[in-house]
Order: sequence, then structure tokens, then C-alpha cells
Amino acid sequence: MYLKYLRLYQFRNFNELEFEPTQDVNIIVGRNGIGKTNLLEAIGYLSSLRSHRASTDRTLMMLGKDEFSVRGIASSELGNVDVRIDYFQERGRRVGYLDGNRVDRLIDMVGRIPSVLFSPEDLNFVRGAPSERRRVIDIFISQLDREYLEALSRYNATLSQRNALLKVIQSGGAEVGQLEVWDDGIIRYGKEIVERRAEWIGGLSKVASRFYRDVTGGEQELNLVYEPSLEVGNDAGIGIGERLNSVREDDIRYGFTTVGPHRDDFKFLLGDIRASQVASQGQTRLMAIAFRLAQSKMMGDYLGERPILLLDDMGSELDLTHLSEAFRLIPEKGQVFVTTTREDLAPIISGEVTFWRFSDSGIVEMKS
Amino acid sequence: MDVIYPRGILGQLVKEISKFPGVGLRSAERIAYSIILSGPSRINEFSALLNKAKSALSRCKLCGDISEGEICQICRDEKRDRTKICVVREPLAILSIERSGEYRGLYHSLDGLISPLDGIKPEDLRIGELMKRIDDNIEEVIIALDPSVEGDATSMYLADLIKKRDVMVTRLAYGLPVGSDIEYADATTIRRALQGRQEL
Repeated sequence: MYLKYLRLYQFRNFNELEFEPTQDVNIIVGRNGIGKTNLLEAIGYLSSLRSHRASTDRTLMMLGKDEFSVRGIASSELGNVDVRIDYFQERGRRVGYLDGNRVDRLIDMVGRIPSVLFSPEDLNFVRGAPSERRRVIDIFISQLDREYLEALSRYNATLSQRNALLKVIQSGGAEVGQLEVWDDGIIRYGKEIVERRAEWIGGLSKVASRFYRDVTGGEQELNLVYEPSLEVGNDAGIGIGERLNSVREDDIRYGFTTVGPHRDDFKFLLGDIRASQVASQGQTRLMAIAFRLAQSKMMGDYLGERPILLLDDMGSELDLTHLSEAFRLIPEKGQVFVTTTREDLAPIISGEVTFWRFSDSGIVEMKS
Repeated sequence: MDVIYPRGILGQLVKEISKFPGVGLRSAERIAYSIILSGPSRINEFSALLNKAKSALSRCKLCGDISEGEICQICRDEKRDRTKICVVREPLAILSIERSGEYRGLYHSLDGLISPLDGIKPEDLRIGELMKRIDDNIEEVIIALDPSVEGDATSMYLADLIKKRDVMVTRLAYGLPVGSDIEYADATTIRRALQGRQEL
């Protein structure tokens, strides 16, 4: 599958932009601050309806405007798919159109144009806060696993309600017993999320470990280990329920739910040691690349074709060496977007390369 | 290209119309233009009808549906099955269920769902009224709330209360949409349909 048309309206720094990329390698060259990352962010947003870096839709809207729109048409052997998301600030909501028809539920649009993004900020999910890792893993699984997405969406809705009720209970405005109807949702959807995360992270760990070995020559073994906030045992549902009960007083005191998949983490291990404690900058970068490659590989295996690869800000020598290594490991053909400040990137990537640059009228092809 | 809104009174009218459920900006503009461009007699008749409807109609004291008089037609109808009561979020849902022609019992509108985020507590809903009606020889309560997390939580809350009264509680089945092919149904729908399967 490849993206053949992209339209951005009042998205980040683009008032209106149309772009018709090629189905091979698209290298977008431009100085810093011109909006290269925003462009890839928009493509990633079409895939998952989430930004890889912003936590609210409002952040994605051009300053001083009150709506934005992202639309992409992708083509595959099965035909075209047309995904459009409009955001309206006044109503604080999004409206989605799939092949021109308004959808009842936005989650029906997730994963229609699958992609994986490689970003310099990827260092953050190896070394940074757990929330970064959860975001990355959620964006990945959601594109492949409809039931996971469904459970996650219902879990988050239940969690917001439960947290709101905890605050009311804290101030004496409701009885503790009213928590039960929300606990039920936390347990049901929480269990499903934990089981599916365990499965997907386990799979990613195996594939990422192989890539890391191939890139580094096998000095140390890379592993991803899932650390759920709630353990799912044999009598899973009961286990989570008991745990939730046992922290109820804490929850009321703090006014939010202190355990559950929204507090999950997973760690990167090199050998037996937590990667954040041992890895150098270079090693961390390699781990991130191996992890992204694993996502791409698993998505390709699962969907039957390679997802669109988005390589943001590929500039340093380190990146170039690593990426040429990396691309040797995923030889399958597919569409690639690369943003860079340099014009000499072509040799690292196989396939037909087209260079693009930003101009007043949009993105134009660079003729050498 | 910036969006151009109608200005002045016309803009006010469009804005007011777009506040109705299911009416977007474009539809609101069409309606507003149509109203203003139509003859004065049509406008007068329409505004008279609105006033008449508003003063003639009120809420049924029992079920909460819209009614001409204190008690609505359904609640007065002796031919209906008075041992069953169907709980809905709002009166509009009664219309949909009536159209199905499948149900001949009574209704009860809760006028909302439990939602701590919106400050809606169980005591803000018409649950007390429901319990009083249940004590009046009801044998089955059918819960027909939205399949949202708020709908599920409210259903659970009601089920707990009603079961204590030794009355049967049922919930509408989740299932495959009629008239569409099974291969187009999503996994969640199929799973729920399997869980709610029936013996033939």
C-alpha cells in the first residue's frame, strides 16, 4: 500500500497543502523549522488518529484557526482507500470520512493506511517516561488489532468516569459503592488490554532481538519485557478485581485510579540489565531502530504488505550508517518518506528515489 | 480559504438552528435560507404550530415520554402487557422500539445515563420513579440503554437494584446488523453475537 495523495488544511504550519508522492522513496529536503516533521506527523495521524508527539488534537491545529483537516488517499492491490479526519475546536470533536462516507465511530478508520515512524525522539521510548512507551506501543497495536483498540477506547472512557467519581467520593458527594459499576469496566477491558499487550510485546521482543543482533554483530542480547501494573494470572478477572479493591482507599485519597493498564510499562533489557542504565547514545539509537524495524516487520507479516515507513530527520552520520544497515534487513519493497536537511541521502536506500522540497506553492519535485 | 459565516441576524438564526441534534452548519444554512425565502404565511403557520405544540405537549407522569395530557397513550392502553417495562435513556428511543412492532409492554425513560464526568449521579435520573413502577406487578424489566460505557454502567447499577426486588432483568442482545453480510461485521460485534447466540 502506498499513499498517493495527501491534503492538509490548517494542520500545524500548513494552511493548505497538497502532495502527490511516488510509491517508492520520497526524500523531502528542507531547512529546520519548515515543517518536515509536521508532514510525517500528519501521515502517522492518518494511520492511528494520534500524533506521535502531541497528546491533544488541538495542538495540531494551526495557530489562530478553529479547525483542521487531514486527508489521505492510499492505493493497494485491493483498490483505493480514502481517509479524512476533520477537527473542530468549538465542538472539541473530530469527524471522520472513509471513502467519502461519514463514519459513526472514528476507530473504524484506524489502521486503514498503516505506517511506522522512525524519529530522533525515539530515544525517549528507550530511556524516557513510561507514558512514552505506552504511546508507542498503543499506536503500533491499534493499527493491527481492532479488539485491542476497542478495549483501549472503552477502558479509557471508563477510567475517566471512575476518576471523576473518585473525586466526588473524596469530597463526600457520593457513596463508595457507586465505584462498582465502573470497576467492572476497568476489570473487563483492563484484562483484555494486558493479555493483548503481553502477546504483542512478546512478539516484538523476538523480532527486535533478531534485528539488534544482526545490526550489532551479536554482542549483547536485546529484550523487551512487559511490566503490567496488574498481573493477569489464571483467574485473571478475579485477580484484577481483588487488586482494585485493595487500593480503593488510596484511589479515593488521591482522587484517581492508581493501578491498571494506564500505568503499565515495558523495559528494554541488554542482557539482563535495564538498557537505560547501560546503553550509550549509539546503542540506544540502535535499540530504537531495531524496535521500529520489528514493528515494520510484524505489521508486514500481519497485513501482507509492508507499512509505509516514515523516517524523520535523518541527518547524522550515525543515522546514515545505521539506516543503511537497517534497510538491508527489510528488503521488501514499499513506500518510504524521509525528511532531511541533506541532499546526499539517496545511496542508503534502495528503490527509485524522488527528491522534494518545500516551495510557496507546496511540495515540488527537485530536478537535479 | 477561510470559512465564511452569514453575518448579523441571519448568522444568529443559522447558529441557533445548528444547535439542534444532528444538524450541521451546512444543513442549518439551508434551513435558515429556506425559512427566510418562504412566504410570510408559511412562517406564521410554522411559528404558531411550534407554540401550540409546546403548550399542548408535556411529559407523561409515568414513563416520561412526550404526551398530550398527564398520562401518555401507551401508559393508558389497557391492551398492552403491563407486566413488562422497557428502560430507555430518552423518550426518542421509545419511538424506535415502537416502530419495530416487536414490543407490547410499557416504557420508562431515565432521562440520561450515570456519568460522573458530567456530574450526573444515579439520583439525578428517574430511577426512584422506575422502582415504584416495578413494585406494581412488573415481572420483567428490559434494559435498552446505549452500548456505551455509561450505558453499561447504568445498566449494571439498575440490574443490582432490580434483582433485589426479585424481578427478572434482561438486556437487549448485541448482534449482527440485519441485511449485511457477516464478513463485513467487525470482530467485537461477531464476538458479542456469539456470546448471545440462541438455540434454533
